[in-house]
Amino acid sequence: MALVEPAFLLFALIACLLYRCASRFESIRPFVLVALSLFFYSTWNPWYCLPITITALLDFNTAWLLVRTQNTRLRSLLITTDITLNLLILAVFKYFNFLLQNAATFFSAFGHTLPPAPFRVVFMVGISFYTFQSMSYVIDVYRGEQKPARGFMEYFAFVTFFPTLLAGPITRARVLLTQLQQPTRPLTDVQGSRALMMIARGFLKKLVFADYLSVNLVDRAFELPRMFSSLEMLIAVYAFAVQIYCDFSGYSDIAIGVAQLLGFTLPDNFNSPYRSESMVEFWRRWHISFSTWLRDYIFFALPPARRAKWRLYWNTLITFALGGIWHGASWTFLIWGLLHGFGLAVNHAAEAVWPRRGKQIPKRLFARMGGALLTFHFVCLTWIFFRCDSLQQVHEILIGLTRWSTDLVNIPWPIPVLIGLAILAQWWPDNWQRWTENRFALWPSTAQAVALSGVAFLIAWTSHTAVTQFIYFKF
Amino acid sequence: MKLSKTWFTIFVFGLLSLFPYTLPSMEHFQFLNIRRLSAPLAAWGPDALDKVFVRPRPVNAPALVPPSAPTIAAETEEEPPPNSLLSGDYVGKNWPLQDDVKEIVSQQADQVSIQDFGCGMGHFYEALLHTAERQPGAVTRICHFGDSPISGDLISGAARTLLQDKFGDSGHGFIFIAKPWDFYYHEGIHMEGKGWKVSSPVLPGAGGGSYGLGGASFTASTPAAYSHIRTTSKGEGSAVSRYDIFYRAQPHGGSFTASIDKDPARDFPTDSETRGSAMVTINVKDGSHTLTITPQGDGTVTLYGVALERDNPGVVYDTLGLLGGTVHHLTFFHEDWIADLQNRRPDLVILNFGTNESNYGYLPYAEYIHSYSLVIQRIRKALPDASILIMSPMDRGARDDDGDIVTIPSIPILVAAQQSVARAQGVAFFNTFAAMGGMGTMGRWYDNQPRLVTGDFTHPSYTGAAQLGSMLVNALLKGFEDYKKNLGGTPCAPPGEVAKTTPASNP
Repeated sequence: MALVEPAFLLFALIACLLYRCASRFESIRPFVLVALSLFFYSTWNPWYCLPITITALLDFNTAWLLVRTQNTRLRSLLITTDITLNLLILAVFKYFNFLLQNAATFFSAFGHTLPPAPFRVVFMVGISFYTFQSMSYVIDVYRGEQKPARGFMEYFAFVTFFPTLLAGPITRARVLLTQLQQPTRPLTDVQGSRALMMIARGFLKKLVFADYLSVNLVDRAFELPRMFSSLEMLIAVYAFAVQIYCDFSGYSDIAIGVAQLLGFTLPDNFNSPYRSESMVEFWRRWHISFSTWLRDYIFFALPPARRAKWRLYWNTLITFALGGIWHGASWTFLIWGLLHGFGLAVNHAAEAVWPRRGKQIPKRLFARMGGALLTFHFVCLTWIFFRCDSLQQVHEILIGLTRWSTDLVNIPWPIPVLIGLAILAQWWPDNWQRWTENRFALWPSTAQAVALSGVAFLIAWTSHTAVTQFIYFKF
Repeated sequence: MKLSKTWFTIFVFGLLSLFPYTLPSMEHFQFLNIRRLSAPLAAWGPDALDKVFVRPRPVNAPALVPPSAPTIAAETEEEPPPNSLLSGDYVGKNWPLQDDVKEIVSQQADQVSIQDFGCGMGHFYEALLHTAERQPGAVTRICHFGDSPISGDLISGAARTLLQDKFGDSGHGFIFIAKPWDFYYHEGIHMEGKGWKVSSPVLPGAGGGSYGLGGASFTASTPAAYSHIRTTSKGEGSAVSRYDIFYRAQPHGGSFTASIDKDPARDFPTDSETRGSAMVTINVKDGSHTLTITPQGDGTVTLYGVALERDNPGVVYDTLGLLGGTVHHLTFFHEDWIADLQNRRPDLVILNFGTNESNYGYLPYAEYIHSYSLVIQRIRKALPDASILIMSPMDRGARDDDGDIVTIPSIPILVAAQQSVARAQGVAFFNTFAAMGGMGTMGRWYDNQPRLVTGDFTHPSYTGAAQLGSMLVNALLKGFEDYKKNLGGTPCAPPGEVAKTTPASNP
């Protein structure tokens, strides 16, 4: 069940009502949440519930042992074993086919032929997200930064929490587990209105912006680039930048909105990333839950860069290379990660050479615009690697971009309009957004319902095509 | 319990959402597909584990159909085929193709070859034999009419490369002077055109009228319009030694200039007492060139396209795709199209439609047969000796309620209809659908690494197009080998009886 399916709306409504009723009884609350989440996950495939249960049991018990052990060696052994097993499960369900394929290529180079695999493992949606979420809990307990869960069901509810289960945001234990341990508070009008607004915004981003761009330009342009002129390819790359933002942030909006209706407040996952003036700023605004995870659990775990500056750059490269591989078993994702690591390293180096003289001196407008343009185009370049299935496809697109042809016959007029609107919205001031949310909360129920229905009818009217899958379900 | 404001908003929203379901005119505003509400529960089937650990299947495996898809591949005499596929809304009742559809979907990929119902492929094979013997001037020409995959030179481009690699490169063939629509491309050609008004039956606002060989015309009256057509600078497809420019001669027609590379431009008037298609030829030194065409501004100029050729023996393969085209569109083409066809003198004409017809909610069967027959009759009249081959549509997929990619039911019906036309008209037939692997192919091709089809489950990827082109060429070469073996011996034996079952309408 995808989050934009009508069935999900019905499910979410029933789930919220059930959970709100169950929240009066403290002891059964986690059971109800787990049951709802497992039901939701099993609509993808009931067998998916097995690995997530194993992961939760493994991490819960490891944390339980960690708080009861003072022996440093034993604690190290426990955490190492736990991380290894987590990554092993992830590797089986995510990297099995890739590893087998590359092993066959490797052996064939030496004249050996491996027998064909008897089966291939289908990627299990959500596994990357819940594995990282669960691992972060154990690491936090190991570091003494997180109190352990009071019981397994409470922890299992944290790992399987259905709004974030499929594609995040990767929520830390100190955010979600803590709220699970507290009594559920009634939904205020402001919270409720904000939740409904976020859900509507998420649907709008996904079904109007992302899907229209995907079906009407991006898919064709990336799959058959020779049909498109250089200018059209460039627009297709911009369109993909908007598509992936609207797709993923739309999903996050729906997840955060539904969580809010259940009574949980989750942090934002995106904050107008395309207005970033540097790569460092971009990663503070893009997929925030993932970038902070990488920072806290990989970057900080690497040998520190106190003495050698190069180590900072090297660590950044390593962190983002792993971040790239996390997205999928493919060379294109690795290069995407390396390019981002390189961009960040250059950014850090530039700041070291030309340090800012205090924040009192504001940057000139053209410098800010230049920084935003440069950052946006660098990010767009990396999206080409992200979108393509193979390096051959990347090559085709780069060749297409450099043909210097300017036909625009493949671009229907709504495409530039949607791209322009999405990019302009990035500069929508934060206080305006808060103002809009607060004003909406003051509207009477009927007016709110009419506004939401207007959005729903607009979505129904514009989405003539079948719903495409969320991009981040693949990871 | 007091209902909070948020829940009351949701309640009112729910009521308002039901409003479009009460009026048929509000159908477009229904955003909850009620039928899909139970779809997520389908995951709980007994085969759930098989969807986690999937056994690999070869790309062009024999027809395998997901359990939920309509299937007749496994039908037996005792178990009649489901109505949805054989006599549903798509063709109406009492249509004559039930047996043919059974034959189509049960055909195995490795059994597919060219079915030469009228023994008409002999002319093409004879031309190919002369080309293979490198006889002077022995150029074998193929005109491949089709829909979007041909407009994008996807299958035809691969077939051209394979045939030219084997028999020699005699040029790119016919191309438009500018992109008439999106999804137009010609491998090895860089094209840029601005300022032309494009008319075609497949474009909005067009109807009857004069169209050239490719089914589109380009009109301009000011020198601001231009076209640059450049062959790649080196390698395959880079050389050209002759440009044949096709235009409409008409009273008060203006002139256009054509220049090759940086040579001085030459003027060509299109003014004529009578109206009709005409052609001018520009000979150049064999090699890579850029052709630039511009109207002079002294009147209206209408161009149809340009053919790039070389004089050495080889194959010329014209890509003549119409975006969103159906065979019915070819019936709009009259004198100019026939004149251009006669100017091109193809040895083989391929008709490759069906994908867009598969979108119809209902196939007017008699009219469809009539359109195909009419087009074949016209080609025969224009080119009495040319071989004609009907190439069936590819498989086309859609996701069913379980999310599986299955063959849409209209495809095998269209393939059967086209086979029956070929049989009735005595022309050759190639079953692309079966050659790909039959029912469910799009699902397998989409899951393949690298992907062989794009995400619309309709168009082949470059790799998939190369496979399809190769399937067609292999079938043609097999027919050619059989022809050579039988030279001077037994003439072609048509497969089955001609006009076995189908009452082809009188064109």
